[in-house]
Amino acid sequence: MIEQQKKLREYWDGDFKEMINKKSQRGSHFGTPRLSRSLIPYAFVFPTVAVLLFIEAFPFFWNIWISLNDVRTTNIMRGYPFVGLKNYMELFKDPMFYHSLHVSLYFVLGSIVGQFMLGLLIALIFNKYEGLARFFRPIFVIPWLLSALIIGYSWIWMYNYNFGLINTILRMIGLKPIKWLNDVKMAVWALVIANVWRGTPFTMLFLESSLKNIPKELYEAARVDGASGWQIFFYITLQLLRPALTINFILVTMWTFNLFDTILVMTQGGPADATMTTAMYMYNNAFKYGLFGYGAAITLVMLIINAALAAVYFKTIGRENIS
Amino acid sequence: MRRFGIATFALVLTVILGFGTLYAQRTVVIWEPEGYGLEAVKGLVEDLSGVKLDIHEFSYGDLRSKLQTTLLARDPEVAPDVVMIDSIWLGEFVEGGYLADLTDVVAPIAKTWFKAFREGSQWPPSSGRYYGLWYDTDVRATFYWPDLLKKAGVNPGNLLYWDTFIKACQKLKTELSDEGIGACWLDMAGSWAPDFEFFPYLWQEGGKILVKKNGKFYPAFNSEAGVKALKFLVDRVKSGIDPQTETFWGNDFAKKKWAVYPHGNWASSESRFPGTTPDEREKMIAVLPLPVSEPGKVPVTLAGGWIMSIPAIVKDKAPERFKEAVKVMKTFLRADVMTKYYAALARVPVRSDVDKEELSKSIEFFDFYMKMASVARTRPAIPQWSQVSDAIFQAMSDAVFKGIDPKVALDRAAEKVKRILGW
Repeated sequence: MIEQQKKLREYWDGDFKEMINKKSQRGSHFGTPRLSRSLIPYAFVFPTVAVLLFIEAFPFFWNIWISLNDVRTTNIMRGYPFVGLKNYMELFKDPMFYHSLHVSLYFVLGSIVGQFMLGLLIALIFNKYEGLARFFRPIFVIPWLLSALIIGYSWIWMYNYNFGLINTILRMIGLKPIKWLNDVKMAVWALVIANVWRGTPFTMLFLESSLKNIPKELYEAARVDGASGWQIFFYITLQLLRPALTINFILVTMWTFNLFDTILVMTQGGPADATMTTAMYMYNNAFKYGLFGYGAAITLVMLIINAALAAVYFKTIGRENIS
Repeated sequence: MRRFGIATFALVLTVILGFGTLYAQRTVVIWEPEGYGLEAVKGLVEDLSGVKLDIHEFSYGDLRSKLQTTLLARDPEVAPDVVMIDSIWLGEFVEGGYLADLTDVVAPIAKTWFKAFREGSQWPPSSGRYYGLWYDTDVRATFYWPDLLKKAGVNPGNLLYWDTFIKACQKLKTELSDEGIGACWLDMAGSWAPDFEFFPYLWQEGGKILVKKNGKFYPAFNSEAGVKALKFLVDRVKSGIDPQTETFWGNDFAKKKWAVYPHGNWASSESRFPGTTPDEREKMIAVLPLPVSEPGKVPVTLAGGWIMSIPAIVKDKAPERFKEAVKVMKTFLRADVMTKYYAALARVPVRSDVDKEELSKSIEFFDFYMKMASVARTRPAIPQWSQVSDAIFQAMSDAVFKGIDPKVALDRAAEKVKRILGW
């Protein structure tokens, strides 16, 4: 068997060398056969790597470069000065940036908790009652399919103090109407509700698919051992959902932290900057004020925050699964 | 015979291509905001100028970013020939090198424009250097439903003065809230709020937004006049007029959701009352100037609008196209063409020599709007305007929503604006 393999190897080597020699005679750019052999795999992956570098890495490094320059709409054509870390220094002294982080904290936390609780609850119900799921799943997914702008405008109408649907219902049942978007303390929670409504279908679908992968035998064994419903939920369902939860939390956190279109439509960061999230503040600086350098600096700080949060999720929720 | 066939074919092809090129050269591309409606006079301008037009519409935000990114490419092939820019973008676009100096083209035409729009088309302001010309405007005023006021027992004359205005709104709220009708609209929905709720009252009291100091702009809105104007806003909120953080740009007023609606003249237009004539609208709703602090004070209004211009890249790198663009622009700026445009879109004129008789038939409250436009004031279109406007809006929000003293709020905003303006 080994002898046969040796022969085969010699044959292929010989054939290959012959081929290379022929290529060399034709003026091929290949050097020695060994070198050319080692280059071939790289040649195959090169187009993919080049495209990826162009699409992913170039904008990233360009963004870093822009953040180190004072680029504005008024000087971008005439030449802009290199300012080093000035944009970052100003950002870390900017009280509105810290305010925006504070608002983002409430917005992201509220959205994650809301989406997780509702998404998991619906996923558990759908997992248990397949007939119900078949009917309601397509309906529940609709908010996830809608554009952020449509969602924003729909919620503006529903939240309207005078003639909005929610306040009309509140009035009908004898309750006082709520200033959903007009109140400094309420506005961010009004946005959280709209965002939870939009994001819950994703969490629901994500967790439902993971629930289906949990072996039924585990539940049967637990029941035989006398475990209660809560114990089964906490020690089997939640534990086995951890990989899915980790990914879900990371995605929801990033999307919510970066979300600005719904906020732009619904509140534009108001009233009195009560809904000025970091993403909204970045948008204002880069695109409303035309301060591209400063906006790029905010984007990079947001990226670092997102990466740090993802690391925290992996270290905490996803730790055991990774190991 | 075969050679003759080939020669004939080549000749026909050359003629077709020649005409094709000629046709392509004579198409001028125009970019305008959504709903601006230059299409209404497209045929007329094409006939008068002999140039084919290709008009593209973009949403408000898209137009600004698309213009900037396209003009940044410095390629005349992708640039439009004629552009409509919001009057508050002028400084930013000129400083950025996006617009062509059109002084020679428009200065002779601009003489019949109202002062505010003539000067507002120049950069730096009142420098004599034109980068386009203001095409239409809008004015702010108090709109109301007379029948609702009558039902609530409110005299419309009370809407003319600050103190009686507040009392009228309180009464309207008491009488109409059960029917789900809002009393008096108060716009705090976005960075445009100062245009409606602060600047007209600041000017009315003799104040200014910015002044020139050592050749640079300096904040002046935190003057005594500014504090008085902001106090009027706070007083309205304290009296029970709820500040609105979402706006439907007059559509809610047209649906009778509000009794009194201080806003732009679009609130009375056909677009808000589809299928109605100007006469019918004048019978349904009424309009008054914005309230003044005391009898004897002259009501002032803020005017916005769009400026017609040509990108610098077209002038610099495509002289033939520039000539065509100028020809088209001059045609658009003819008094008869502008009259037709104003009549079709019910827009407020920026010049005095339009056909008033024709316009009074097609624009509701025409005489009132003309009077307002002739004394209107405009915002300083400096490159940092959106930041300045946001800082003032923040002062308004702080005073209204956080209860901060108007003087303190305005002084804080002034400090911020000083930094923005490089002080």
